[in-house]
Amino acid sequence: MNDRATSNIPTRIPNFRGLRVLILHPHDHNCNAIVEQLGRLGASANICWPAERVLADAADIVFFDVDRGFEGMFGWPTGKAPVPLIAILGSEAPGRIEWMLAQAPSAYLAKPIGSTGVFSALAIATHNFASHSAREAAYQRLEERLQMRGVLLRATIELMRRHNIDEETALSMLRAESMRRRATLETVGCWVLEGGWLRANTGPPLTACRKTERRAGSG
Amino acid sequence: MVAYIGTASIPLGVVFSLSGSYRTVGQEMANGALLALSEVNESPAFDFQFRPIIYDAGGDAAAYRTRCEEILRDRTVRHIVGCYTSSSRKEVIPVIEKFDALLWYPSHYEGFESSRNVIYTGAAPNQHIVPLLRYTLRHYGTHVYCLGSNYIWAWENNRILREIVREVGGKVLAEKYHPVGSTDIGHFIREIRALRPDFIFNTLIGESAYAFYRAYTAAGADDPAIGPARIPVASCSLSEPELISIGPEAAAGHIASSVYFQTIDRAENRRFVARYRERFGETKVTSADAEASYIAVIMLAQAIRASGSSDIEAVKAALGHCMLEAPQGPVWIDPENNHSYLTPALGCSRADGQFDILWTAGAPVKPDPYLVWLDAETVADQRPRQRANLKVVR
Repeated sequence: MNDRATSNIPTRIPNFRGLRVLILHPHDHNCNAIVEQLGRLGASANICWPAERVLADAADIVFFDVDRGFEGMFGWPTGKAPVPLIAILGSEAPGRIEWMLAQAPSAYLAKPIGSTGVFSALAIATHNFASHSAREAAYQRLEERLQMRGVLLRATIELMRRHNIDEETALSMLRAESMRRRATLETVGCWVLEGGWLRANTGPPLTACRKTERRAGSG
Repeated sequence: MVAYIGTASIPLGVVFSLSGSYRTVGQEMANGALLALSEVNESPAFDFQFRPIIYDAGGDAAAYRTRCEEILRDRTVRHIVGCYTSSSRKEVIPVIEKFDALLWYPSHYEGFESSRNVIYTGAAPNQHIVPLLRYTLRHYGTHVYCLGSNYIWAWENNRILREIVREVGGKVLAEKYHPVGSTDIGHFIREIRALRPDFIFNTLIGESAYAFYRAYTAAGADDPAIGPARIPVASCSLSEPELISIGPEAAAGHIASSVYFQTIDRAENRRFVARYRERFGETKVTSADAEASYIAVIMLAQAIRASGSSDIEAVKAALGHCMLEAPQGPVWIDPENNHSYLTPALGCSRADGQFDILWTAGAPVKPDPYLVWLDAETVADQRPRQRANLKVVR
């Protein structure tokens, strides 16, 4: 017997009603098969060929032909598509695969296009694009903070020197201010180095710092 | 193009499981197809004859593929009516597409498919599970116990149910799967007694389902808190021949969603039932599966007559203009997805193996195999928590 955990409910049934799809592929039976399937899914298709420096302003998702794809097909930096890409792959020549991978597609569809594949390609592409975007954003945040670690260190030393306090007290001050402003420690560090507190002439809330020392959130 | 000249013989593949674990349904489907085939052959309205090529796939998905390949290798065959389970259909489709033939698939199924080489004459999910839930969530409540055979039909129907139940603020109390064919179901009865759902959604098939209906009805006789009269069992596949297999003691009080019931009161249906009995025996009952096969063959004949060709593109083009007054009501094919406009209905089973009709859509409903137009939150816009007694509306 098999019991499914009902608490662990998956996401919604994929529904592509109203989805605006841009297809970068010559008008042929493969293209028609995709358009036909999109119609059944309630999505609208716009075919563009030949394609050069194409933008995705009016599209939620882009299908593109790998067999005839070239540098300059897309109007965005290579691999930085603003919407999910689905590669339509015929040739398996290594050069074509290499070019396709450089575009960082979120899903693939093999030619010849039959009656299946478009629905799952859309589902896979939207899922992969969303999780990739979320990972990318988290990575960006970490990267920024990593770069700001030096700033934080310098701000701590600056406060220690300025107020003749120890390292822990200085960090507590920064933490309390970061909580109060709902900003990162690094942002507060920047502000201190730029002359904050001194310039504002308000003086550091040292007592408040000491009280919140243990409760303050981490960096 | 495979054209024909008057009085031509057009070969038609008929591939069902006449033996094996789901032979009851397979035989019903073959019967429906063969009945339609003789009607066409005997009717002066058609100036051609169907020549059936019948194969038994024996319930083996791979056998469907090899049988269809054998049939299609003779390039004169362009049409096959057949398949029941989704796994058999998935095996056959690549072969059908390779030979660019047409498969007439006469079974309700879980949807999310639309092949240009298949005509679907059974119900799509918006024509079976959605109306069933619209009724049960409103009339019984939103706490559901799901029980099914461990394969795609049950998984995907429960997937749709989970989404709808969540959207209306209900709860799936449990989702249980059981091996196909296993009849060891005592622990489910104990669990239902403990959980007290508002209704049970049953996607068990074959012997497992029959064993469950018997055990559940017996449990209800001992404990008035459960049983079909208190917590009904709802299904998208229960049919008349199955009620006979379940037996009169446990056949009553179950809710079924189907586009066809033998009790549908229409001249076309009365004729269908009479001819079915005449041909296959007075004790025989009709079913949605038999009707869908019957519709497939008649629609094919109509399209061949209209286009003057058995070529599949010509047939598909002609289908766009064909409408059949079928036993269930008017039926036609949606050229957008090759599925059928069918009339959903709900029945409550009786001890005599027939259904009282509880509700009918009243008109054919456009097929939506991908549930593109489903707005889950509207399925139960009234949410009564009190239990209703089963009422017959006609």
